[in-house]
Amino acid sequence: MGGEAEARKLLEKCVERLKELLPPDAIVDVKVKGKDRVYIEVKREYLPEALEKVYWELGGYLSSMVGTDDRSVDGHYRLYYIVSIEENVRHIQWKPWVVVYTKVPWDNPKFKSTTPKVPAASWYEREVKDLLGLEPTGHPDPRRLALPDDWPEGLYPMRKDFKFYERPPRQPKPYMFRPEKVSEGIVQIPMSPIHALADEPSQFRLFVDGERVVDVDYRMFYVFRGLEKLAEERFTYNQTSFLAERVCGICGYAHSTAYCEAVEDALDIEVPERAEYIRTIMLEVERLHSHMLNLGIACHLTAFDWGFMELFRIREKIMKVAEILSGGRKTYGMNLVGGVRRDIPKDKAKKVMELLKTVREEFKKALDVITSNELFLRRCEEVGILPKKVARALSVVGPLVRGSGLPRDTRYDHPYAAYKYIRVKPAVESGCDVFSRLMVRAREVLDALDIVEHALDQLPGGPILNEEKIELVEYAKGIGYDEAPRGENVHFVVIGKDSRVHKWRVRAATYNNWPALPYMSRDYTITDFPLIVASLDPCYSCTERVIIVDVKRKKTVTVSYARLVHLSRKVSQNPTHTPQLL
Amino acid sequence: MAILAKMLPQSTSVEKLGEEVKRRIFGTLKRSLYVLRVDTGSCNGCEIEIFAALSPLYDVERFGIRLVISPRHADALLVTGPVTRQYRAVLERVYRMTPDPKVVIAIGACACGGGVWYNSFAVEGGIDQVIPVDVYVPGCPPHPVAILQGILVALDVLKQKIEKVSYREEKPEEEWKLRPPLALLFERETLVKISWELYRDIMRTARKYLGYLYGVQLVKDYFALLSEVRTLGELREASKKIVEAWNRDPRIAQVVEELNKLVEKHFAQKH
Amino acid sequence: MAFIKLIEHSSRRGVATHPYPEKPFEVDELYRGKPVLDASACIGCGACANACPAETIKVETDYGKGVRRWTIYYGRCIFCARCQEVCPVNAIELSREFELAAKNREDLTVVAEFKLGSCAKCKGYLDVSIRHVELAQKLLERSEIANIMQELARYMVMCLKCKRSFFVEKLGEATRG
Repeated sequence: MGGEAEARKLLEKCVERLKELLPPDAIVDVKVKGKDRVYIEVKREYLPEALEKVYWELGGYLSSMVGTDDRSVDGHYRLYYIVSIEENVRHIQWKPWVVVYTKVPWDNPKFKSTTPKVPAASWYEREVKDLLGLEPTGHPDPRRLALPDDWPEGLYPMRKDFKFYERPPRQPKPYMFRPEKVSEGIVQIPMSPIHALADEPSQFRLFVDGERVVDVDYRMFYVFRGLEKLAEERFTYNQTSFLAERVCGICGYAHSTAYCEAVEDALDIEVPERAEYIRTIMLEVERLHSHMLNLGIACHLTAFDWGFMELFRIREKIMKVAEILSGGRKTYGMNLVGGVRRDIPKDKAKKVMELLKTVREEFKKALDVITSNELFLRRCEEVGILPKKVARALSVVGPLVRGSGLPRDTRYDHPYAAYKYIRVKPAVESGCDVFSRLMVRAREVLDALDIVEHALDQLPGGPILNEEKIELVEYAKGIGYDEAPRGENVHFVVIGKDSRVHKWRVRAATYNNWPALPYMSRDYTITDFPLIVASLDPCYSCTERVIIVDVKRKKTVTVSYARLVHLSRKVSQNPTHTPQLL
Repeated sequence: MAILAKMLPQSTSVEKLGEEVKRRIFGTLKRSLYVLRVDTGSCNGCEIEIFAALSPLYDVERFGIRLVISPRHADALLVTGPVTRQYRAVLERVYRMTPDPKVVIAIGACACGGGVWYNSFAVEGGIDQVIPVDVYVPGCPPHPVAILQGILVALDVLKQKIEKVSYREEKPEEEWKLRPPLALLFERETLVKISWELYRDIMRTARKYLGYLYGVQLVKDYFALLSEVRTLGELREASKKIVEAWNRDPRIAQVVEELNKLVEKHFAQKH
Repeated sequence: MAFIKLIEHSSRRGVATHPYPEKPFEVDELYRGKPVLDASACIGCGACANACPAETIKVETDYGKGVRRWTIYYGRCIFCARCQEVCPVNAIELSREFELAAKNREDLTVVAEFKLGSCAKCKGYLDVSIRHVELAQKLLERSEIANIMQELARYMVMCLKCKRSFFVEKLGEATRG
């Protein structure tokens, strides 16, 4: 393919440019792998500069960051920063992945933080600090990010000398949320784990002025299940595919696929074309059900329950499709490293085609009714605005970024599976509001129907599983990625001993999308908040393979009840009023 | 509660009393069952299946089962997830807040026994490690109908279908029976005496092309055929029957062709 | 206007609800439901226990009773069909049974016990079941390299301890001779 030569050229250009930009002794090693990825080792002291140049000069987006414990190998920890180069190279089919990594010695587990230069690295570095005990010096926000409240200090679960089944004694410590009394006139509304509007365990704190949300604080780690540790010590590499499917119950198959791709990339396993098509079909089926779920929930939250019921009725047909193709409604269990486990015979494909036909008709009709409902539109339009600029700065992914007018789509940017053969055009809407994001999803439902039908029609022959020539190469590294319904998932794998992974890092789409929530919810009413959260389509369990706490500190001011009521009334009667508290 | 306790016969066992109360409440109260969904760190798979159970196709509300949003309103808890370390305290609190009598239904593999994470450092490994469970609904995630059945079993409307099975081998020589396709290897005289290696190769090829499920099905059919034919020419002719039986799928024709080639190769080596 | 559309659309819908539990709910013919063990075919090799991601299938050797014990707890099962995929004798298959609600944990278990074979030398228990040895012998006869394997077939019915001492002896003989 012509695209490959182009991609290689670009990759070389990137490496040369980086060599020019950095001091001559900064780069230790450069390894090009395949057509679109390069591993660059830099000296520890030059790490921030190197990442800065890759991120800002070469136009990259930070896709993931991984810390590995390689003390048993060579006495070092390693830090990998995975950057996808996307700016100004939209036309190139395979955009380069640049992995900048460095070694951190075991007896001095410290490194210069890159966060001051690349803000996107903030959470990743705090996570590394908590789970591996590597100290990012100069990090602007060095508080604990990960681990439960009652976890003992100085115990790092991702280190190799911690065993996965250990249950350290509890050291109960109340978690300090933001100060109980915040600025004048601001009321805190806790939305705790058990709440009408929170579908999953997490804690939101809404800070409201009258009815208006002025800020949001969230803290989640109720779903931390330690799965990366399990994969390293209990699961074999083929079992991990099923574990990956349980990262998330809605977009699990996308995780499973990304994991398998990462291992296949590390070990240079060729996946048969038919398997790639079957993966694509299942990924799109998953997108169908997930988007319909999200559209249905949006209807439900705007009290338009007809839409919810109708979309869920249609969605049941998609579940039937999944059942016919994989034998399970939600967990498909189709992936193994090297291909898929279940073929699609002709009669099954025919059944699916018939179902999809009715789905298309019914979905179009339902969409017509929903979008012509004035009440629904009023709730969605001009609500939860995420400006294009902010979306870009936070490098959000999925329908969220596409709803803000940016054509980012992994299926297009880094074609994987059968998207190499079936080119996808990103569905972009420029409204930046909840409605735009819903419309992106609606358009993607119709696109996905096309893709599934096309792929079923064009299924190539040949085998579906290639597991004969698998040779485990220790410490081989691989990147797997795909476009889940919520956006780009990136998995990073280092192959280890005893057919286990040495390190597996899951970066789910929602991880990148959370920081956008405060921007989207400010200045809207409390009733809008659940809808805005739903439009982000968050997946808590995805994100919370690790933990996120993001707390901003504010001055403590005592406020009398009377004053508070007064302020609330005043503000609610005057929607144009902007308090100076912010 | 106090009145109800008086109505009941004296019972020595607290559990028994609880059982009886539960039965009477649901038998005599004759009102809707209010259900609270508690997510203790689930992957959402079970959650969306509970949502699906609300959708028109299954519609749990026709039984008067209603989702509520506060533990204080609930009669039953639908608990999902393996109980993460962080969530344990919350679950205990929710259980305490729910008024008695209450039913706890564990939904999904994680809730019933910790699922794939059962011995991880960050989870407790199932609901019954923290609070007593009345009904287990296995599945990953359970089918919406299975969830419905679980609730109805909890209310003694439906009977449970599953029970413990134990098997003990008494006479190993007599009891052991091989199943097809392996059984076909030993049962009948075939065109070529199928060696273990050939069997293995056929199995591998079928799986490589069709996966574990359809692959084994096809191999069963193919071996049945192999025991009927006498010559290689016949094999080719007869193998068309299989393709016919599989709805003339060109894909099956391709795989059968591969298998035929394997047998022929094997045959040529022998002679 | 919008609501007229809505009413029109809804009025054509009819009833979508399935009449469960009056009528049984039919799932697809290849639905992945409860894994069922055909105990009369199982050899207790433990391949399924090895492959099971949830570790819900367990196979252990009980030397006290002289049995190989196969257990499953359906509560933890994730219905991935890995057991079915790896079983060398196709003894375990996923059924379409999916209504598995149970009031007791015990109701969700299956236990199967297979007698252990005995060592040809010391008459103690082997690490594998009688059936497992039998199958290995049967397959060995069918193998293309059966004649080479004849010699080795003797070691098949030896326990680990005897095997070790036997090889040490042989090794000693070889180095001396």
